[in-house]
Amino acid sequence: MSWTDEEIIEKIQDNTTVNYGFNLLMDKYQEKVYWVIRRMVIEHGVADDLAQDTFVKVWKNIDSFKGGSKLYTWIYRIATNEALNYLRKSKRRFFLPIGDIEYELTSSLEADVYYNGDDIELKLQKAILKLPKKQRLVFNMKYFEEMKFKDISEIMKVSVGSLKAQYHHAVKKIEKFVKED
Amino acid sequence: MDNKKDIKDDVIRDFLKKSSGQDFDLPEDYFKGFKSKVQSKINQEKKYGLLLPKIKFAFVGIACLLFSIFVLKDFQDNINLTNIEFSKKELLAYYFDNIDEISEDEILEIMIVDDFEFITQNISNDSIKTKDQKEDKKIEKAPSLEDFTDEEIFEYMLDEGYETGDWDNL
Repeated sequence: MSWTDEEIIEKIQDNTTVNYGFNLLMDKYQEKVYWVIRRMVIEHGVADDLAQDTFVKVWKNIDSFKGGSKLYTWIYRIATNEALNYLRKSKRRFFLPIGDIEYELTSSLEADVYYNGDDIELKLQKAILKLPKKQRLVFNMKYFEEMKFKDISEIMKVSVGSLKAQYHHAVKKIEKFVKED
Repeated sequence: MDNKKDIKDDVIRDFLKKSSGQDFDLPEDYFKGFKSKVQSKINQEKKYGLLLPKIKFAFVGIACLLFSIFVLKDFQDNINLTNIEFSKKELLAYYFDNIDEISEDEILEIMIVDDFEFITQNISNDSIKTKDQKEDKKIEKAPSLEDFTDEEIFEYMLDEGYETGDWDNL
């Protein structure tokens, strides 16, 4: 049985079914959350940790979720913030300029035992890693997760017009990169 | 209006058609164990979440206790210092022993204080005296007939030249 967000929230808000409701929530969103983080931080170990932290934060703040936005955009917002904060912290931790983060991520992509992409996939990933991190996030959510601009706009708190422009620029940059060689 | 009509990413899709279609991989049955890992993190959070405020309270309590001990100790020392009373002999002995270390201003200050005490004592004595006198005056009342005996009144009347027969006319 597939549960709607409203049903899951009802279960979580009821003290007798809170754990059951939270398990339903994790069943429904664990993969989506994991992948949006994984495509940003590349390494499986890091993505695993951040995905867990995302759900811990969801559990801690579920009472403050007022239903003004969709449950899944709210969870995605927490997940993307986790990923962006991680990238920001690692840049600060190692005093890396932006170009070097891209290099670090590319290196970890090539070294990751949980990456099976062939040369074409690897090339695409390297092209994506050349994008600024917020543009990369927009591209991943639109291209791989096939999310609507409206939902991405709710997650990132950016206007739909701005997101379309970012996606357009991202596509052009990637096209240019893959056409080279 | 969806993006696919606005923004064409066909080049990327065409490019990927030639690929194996595999990119990121996962450990086997990764998502099966995911929930239990989150649960254990939540349990840890609960434990620390309950413990952390207690630790904070204990720390703040200890800090307050140490602070109050230091402050009260200092305060008590000051009280002890103010409670010490010196006799005039002791003070004079101290002044003579340390006369070189006492400045003129300090000596003047001491003198002024002593003089002031002397003056205030005199004034207060005077004021006590005048008060007593006033009270005596207040006690003196005008005499009434009840204050005198019949013999005294009789003697007074005779002195004034009244005869015994004249009394009925009074």
